[in-house]
Amino acid sequence: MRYGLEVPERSVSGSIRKICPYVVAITLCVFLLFTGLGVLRLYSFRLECRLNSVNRQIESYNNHRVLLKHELSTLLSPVRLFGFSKEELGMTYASNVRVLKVDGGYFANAAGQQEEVPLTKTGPEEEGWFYFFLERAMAGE
Amino acid sequence: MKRRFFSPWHIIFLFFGVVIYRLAVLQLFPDPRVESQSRRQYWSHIPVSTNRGMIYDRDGNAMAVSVPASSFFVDPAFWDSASAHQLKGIIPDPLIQTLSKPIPGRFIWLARKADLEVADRIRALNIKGVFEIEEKKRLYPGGSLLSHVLGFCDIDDRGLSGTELMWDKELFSPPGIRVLAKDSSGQMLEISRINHDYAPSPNEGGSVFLTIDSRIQFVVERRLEEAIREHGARWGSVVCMDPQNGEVISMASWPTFDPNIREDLKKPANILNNCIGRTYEPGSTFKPLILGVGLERGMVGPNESFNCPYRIKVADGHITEAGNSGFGKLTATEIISKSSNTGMAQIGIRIKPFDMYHALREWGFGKPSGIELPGSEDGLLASPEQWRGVVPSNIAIGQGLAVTPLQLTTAIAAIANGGHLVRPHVVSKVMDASGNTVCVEEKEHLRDVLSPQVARWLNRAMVETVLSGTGQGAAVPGISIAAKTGTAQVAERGQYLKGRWVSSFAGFWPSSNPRYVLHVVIGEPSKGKYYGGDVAAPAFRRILEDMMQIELFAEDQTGRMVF
Repeated sequence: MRYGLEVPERSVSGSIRKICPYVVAITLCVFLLFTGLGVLRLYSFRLECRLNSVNRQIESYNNHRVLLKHELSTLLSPVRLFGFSKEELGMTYASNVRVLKVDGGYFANAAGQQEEVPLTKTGPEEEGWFYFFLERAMAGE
Repeated sequence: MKRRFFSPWHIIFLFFGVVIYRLAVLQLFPDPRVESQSRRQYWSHIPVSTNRGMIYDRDGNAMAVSVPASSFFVDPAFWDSASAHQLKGIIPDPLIQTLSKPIPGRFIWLARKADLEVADRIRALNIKGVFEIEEKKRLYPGGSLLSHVLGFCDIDDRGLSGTELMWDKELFSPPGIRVLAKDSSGQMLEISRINHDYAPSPNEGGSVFLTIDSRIQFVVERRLEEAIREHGARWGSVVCMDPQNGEVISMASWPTFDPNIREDLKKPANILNNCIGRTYEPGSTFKPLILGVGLERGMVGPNESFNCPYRIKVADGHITEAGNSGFGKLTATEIISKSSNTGMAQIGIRIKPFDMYHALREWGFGKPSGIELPGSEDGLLASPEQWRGVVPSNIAIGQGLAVTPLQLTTAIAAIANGGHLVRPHVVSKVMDASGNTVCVEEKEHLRDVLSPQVARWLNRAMVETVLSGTGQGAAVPGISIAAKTGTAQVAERGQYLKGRWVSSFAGFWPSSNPRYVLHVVIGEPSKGKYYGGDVAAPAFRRILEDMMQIELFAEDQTGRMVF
C-alpha cells in the first residue's frame, strides 16, 4: 500500500519534471516575446520622435520659406520702393526724357547684317512713334 | 499505473490562462468607452492651421501670404486664477478679469494670432495652464495696395471679400490635426501618432495669379488719392484695362483700407469697391456710346450738323448746356469734343427707345460685367416702356441710368479695340494645392457692338476732345489720347441734388493702337471745381505720365527694356 502510494507521487513529480522544462521554455518565450515587443515599442517611439523632429524641421523650413517670401514681397512692394527711392535716395521723376523708337525693320536682320536705312522724321502716331517726349518736369512732386 | 487527471498545477495554469486571456481581450479589444477615455487622457488633438494659398500679381509678386503666428489658450483644468495678474499689459483687461475667476470648461483663448512681441512675452512667463498653438496669419505685404481686389479673410482664414472670397475654395486649406502625447500635467510631448480620424489636408492652398500690375496699381492709387484730397471728394475710382483682351491692369477705389488692420474692416464705406460696387450716372462720358448707336443705325450722319442752343425743350422737360451759352451749329464730332448736351439730346430723340435700350444692353449695361469679383453691381437701366418724355434725351447725355465704372470702362474699351466687347477679367490663372491649373482666363470676346468704321470715327472724335475740346487738361505732348469728359449730377430719391457732382474722364492711348483704357471717376468734389475736364482729366494725365515713366525704365522678365 505504501509502495502503491509512493508510485503516484513519483509519477506526479515525474510528470512535473516532464512538463516543467516546457513551461519554463514557454514562459521564457512569452517573456522574451513581451520584452521584444517592449523593445520594439520603445524603438518605434524613438523613430516616432525622430520622424516628429524631421517633420518639425520641414515645417520650420517651410515657415522660414514663407517668411522670406513675405519679406521679399514687402521689400519689392511699390509703396516701399517709392518711399525709399524718394526719401532715402532723393530720386525724382525723370524729366526731359526723349525716347527714340525705331521700327523692327530698321534693326539688323537675323544674320547680323545692318541695313543702311536713312532715319527720316515721321509722324508721332500713325507711322510709328519716332520720338516720345515727356516734357513735364515732375521733380519735386 | 493510473495517472491522476487533476493536479494543483492545472488549477494554477487555468487561473493564469484566464488572466492572460482576459488581459489579451482587454488589451486587444478594449471597450470603446474605455478606449475614448484613454485617448482623451493620453493624446491631445492639436489643430494645425495650414498655409492659405498665395495671391500674385501679373509679375509674380506675392500680394497676399500666410505667415506663421502663435495663438495661446488657457486650459482651466490646469489653470491657477492667481496667475492672471501676470498677464496684465499683455492681454486686454476684461480677459484678465475673466481669467481671475474660476473658469468652466477646458478651453479659453488668451491671444489669437499674436504679434511676435506679445507671443514672446507670454512664452517668457511660462504660466501653468497656458498652451501655445501654431497658426498662420494672413498678411498683405503691400498694405492698402490693391486692397479692394484682394479682399480680406476672417480670423479663421476664410475669405470674406474680393479675390479672397471669390477663390476661397482654391485658396483655403482646411486646418490639419496633430495628435501629441500629454503628460500628467497636461504638457505636450513631442511624440505624435498617425491620426486615422481626420483626413490629411494639403500643406498649402492653391494660388491665384492676377492680371494686375502692382507698379501701375500703386501709381493709380497714389494719383487717385491726390485728386481726392485736392478736390475734397467723397469717393473715387480708377480702372485701367487692356482693351485688346479685357485684362484689368489696375483697379483702385477710394476710400481705401489696409486689410492687415482689422479695425479698418469695420467701416463698410472703406470696404466697398467703387469700381464694381457703386453705380453712378455717367454723364457725358456716355455720349460716344449713344452717338455710336446712332451712327450704327443710320440715325446720324458722320458729317451731319446740329444747331445746339443753350436750352431746348424736349417733351415735358428741358435740356440745357453745362456752360452759360449755346454752341450754335456743331458737327457730330464737335458735339463729342465740346460735349454739347442739346446736340446729344437731339440725337437721343432720333433713336427709338427700344433700339437704344437693346443697344445699351448689348454694350453690357444693366447686367453683370462678368468680372471674377464678388459684390459687382449690374447698374440700372430702366425698361424702354418707362422711357417717356425727356428720358431718351436724358439717357443720351448720360443721365437717367446708372452704371458702374467698370461697365463704362469695358464699353470705352470696345471703342478702342474696333468695336469688340470683351469681358473684363482680373484673374489670369488659378492653381489648386497640387499645382494643377484649374482655371485660365483668356480673352473672351462677347460680341461686336460697333463696326470698325464707326469705332474709328468715334476714336477720332475722342482724340479731338483732348486736342481742342473739353479734355485738354489730359493732353500729354507726344501721345495721342482719345478721351471724353463727364460731369453728372447726383440723384437721390428721384431728384438731382444741387452742388453734388460726379466728375469723370474716360479715355485710351495711343489712339492709333490702344494699349490702355483708363477711366477716372471722382465722386462729389467739394472745393469748387466739378467739371470732368477740371477734376478728373488732370488726374488722368498724371496717371498716364507716371505709367509712361514706369514703362520707360521697366524691364520685362527677360531683362529687356519694355518700351
